[in-house]
Amino acid sequence: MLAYIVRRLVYGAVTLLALSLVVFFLIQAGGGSPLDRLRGNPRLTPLIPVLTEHFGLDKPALQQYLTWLRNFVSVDTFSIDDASAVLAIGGAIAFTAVLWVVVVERSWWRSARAFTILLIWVGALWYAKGRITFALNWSQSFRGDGPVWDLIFGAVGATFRLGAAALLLALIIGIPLGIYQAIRQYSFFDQLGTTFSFATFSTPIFIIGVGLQLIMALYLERWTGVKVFYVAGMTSTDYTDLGAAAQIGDVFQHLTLPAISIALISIAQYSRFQRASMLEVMHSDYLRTAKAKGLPRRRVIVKHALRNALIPIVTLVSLDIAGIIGGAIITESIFGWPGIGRLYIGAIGAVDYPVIMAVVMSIGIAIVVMNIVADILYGVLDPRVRYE
Amino acid sequence: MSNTREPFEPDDATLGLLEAEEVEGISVEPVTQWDLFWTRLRRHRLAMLSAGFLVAVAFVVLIAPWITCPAGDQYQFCGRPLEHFAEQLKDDGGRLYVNIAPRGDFLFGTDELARDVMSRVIHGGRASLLVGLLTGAIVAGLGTVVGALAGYYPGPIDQSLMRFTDLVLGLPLIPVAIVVGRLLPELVFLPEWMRRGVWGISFLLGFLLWGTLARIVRAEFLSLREKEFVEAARAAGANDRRIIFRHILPNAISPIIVQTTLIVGTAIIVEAALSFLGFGVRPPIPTWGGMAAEGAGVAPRGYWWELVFAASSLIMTVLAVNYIGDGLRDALDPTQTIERK
Repeated sequence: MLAYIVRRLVYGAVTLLALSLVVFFLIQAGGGSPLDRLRGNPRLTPLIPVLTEHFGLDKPALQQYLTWLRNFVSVDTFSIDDASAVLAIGGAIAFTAVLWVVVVERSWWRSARAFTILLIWVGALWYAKGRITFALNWSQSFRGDGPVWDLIFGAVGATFRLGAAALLLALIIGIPLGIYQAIRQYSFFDQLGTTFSFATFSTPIFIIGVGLQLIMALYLERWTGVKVFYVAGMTSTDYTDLGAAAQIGDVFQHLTLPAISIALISIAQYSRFQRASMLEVMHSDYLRTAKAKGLPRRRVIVKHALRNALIPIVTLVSLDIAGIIGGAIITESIFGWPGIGRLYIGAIGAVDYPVIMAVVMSIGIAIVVMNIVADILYGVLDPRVRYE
Repeated sequence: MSNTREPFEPDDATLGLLEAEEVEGISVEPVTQWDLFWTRLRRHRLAMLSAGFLVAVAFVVLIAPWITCPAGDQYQFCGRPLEHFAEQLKDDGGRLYVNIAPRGDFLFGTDELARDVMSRVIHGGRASLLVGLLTGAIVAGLGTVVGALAGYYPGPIDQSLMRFTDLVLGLPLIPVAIVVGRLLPELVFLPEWMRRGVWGISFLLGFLLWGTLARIVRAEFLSLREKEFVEAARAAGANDRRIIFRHILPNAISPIIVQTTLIVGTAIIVEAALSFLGFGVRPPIPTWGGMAAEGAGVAPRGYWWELVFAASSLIMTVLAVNYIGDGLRDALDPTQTIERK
């Protein structure tokens, strides 16, 4: 298992290296300089040669790439502000090690152990977040927006909120939809769900987003006179003055429409997949056995069919992470959402290499990590799968 | 080949064929896979409807030069860049033909630059369909060749090709496509029509989307190359090229067709997304995606027609392509019983 994870991490690192090479040289080949915008202003023009040398833009492309790569993996600041954070991380490591060697011969044990380890790590890292200062040397934005590390981490939170909301929405709507469609195959509801899925697959995400803006925000407000949803930003300008309940409401008013625009396509995908997976299980021999020995239908569906039909969706969700991030890039520019997608588009326009590279690499890392997590989860959930 | 077919259980569709032959008093002809395929496909009503729709769209798009420019050349619509001859753009009352709502002489209205939206939707269809078909062709070619080589030659060829495929599949589509889309117009060594137009984007999408098909084809080849008929062909002295193209490939064609059909729809959608972000086919060449993106900017001001017609053309066309893909999947799968749709 451990060897498998290590091997996957090595493959992932190679993929990321290739990704960085491809993107870096594509940007280089695209021409343009981050300093071009200074040319229009006679007072700033003298700065161009100085900054060119400062940023190393006069060096050959390969050397620039190697400099970027060295910086990208080197630590800029690392300080422990509170020793308890070290304890938390150490405790998490110890706990993982103990759980790893404990053997319990129960069917639920592998899943329970995996989820406990996951929870402990999320908790420990959350606790350590404010207590350990850590930053990699991702250099400065060429546009003068400050360190790239800070820019990325300022934006990742926004994208995470959007992506997580979309994923949650897709899971809690898509999976039950697919299950219900499979149970009532060829019913009117099933046909309706299929039609919805096909229509969603066939619609570009920006048309969904703009359509939602027009119908759910603009026209809704025009017809009813009530502003239910906002179409831009994460929060209102007077957010900090609001009470706690009003703040939560405000967040939802901003979050709903962009999250739905991303989620719709995932809902379609998950429900199609879940329907197929459920149908496959429903036609299996052991389900016929379960029915034949006279178990109640409800028990057959929930205990025998559903449990097995839910496993494959783990793989789909992990593959969908790339889609959700891609959707977020488009949705963020529609809804003025200050996430990494908008950061990316802005950086592309300004040829801001460090920011472009950092965003692409963050997305790449997220995808690689999620794929590995999904593979491990799959092994945990399906005892037939063993990783060597 | 025709006499060695396995006995099969005729389903409804086959029986229908058999009966039809008998009624006319002709001896029962063998039912080929091709007949079965057609019968199954015809049963998929939505796929047939979609095929009809697509044929109609393709026809309109092909005869575009003869049916657009409804009001003569003075408007210079036709999807070409508009020369700003303001004098020519005024109607009898001296008003500019800008942002006119749909009416008799402009069925889909006009846009901000006084261009006829219907003409542009038709020309945009040309570009969008071409992007889909070209990308599909590139993906089918690349994916089949890579997958076939990897599946037929195990060992280092398979390993290196599949590692490369994994790398391509690992690239996040939208961010990388944006970077390449930005780069395309700058590639001065390429001819103009490749850099700014449909071709460049199609090559870009083709090179980013072939990975899934390569994996599918490889899996097919891996299982087919162990089959007896391949062994028989090899024993009869067929060389590798003949085995790959004449014996294995025809048996692996179904998933290739289905996946390629789905790629056509995907390509149209991704091009639209890129156009929205400003990195797709460049204006003034109209595509449905680009028009919808422009329309999205002005729709809040009430000019809905600039968004709705392009967007709905795009959605309906991609929907039709996807339904055909679904129909083909059902029809090409010999293990599947016919479902009524």
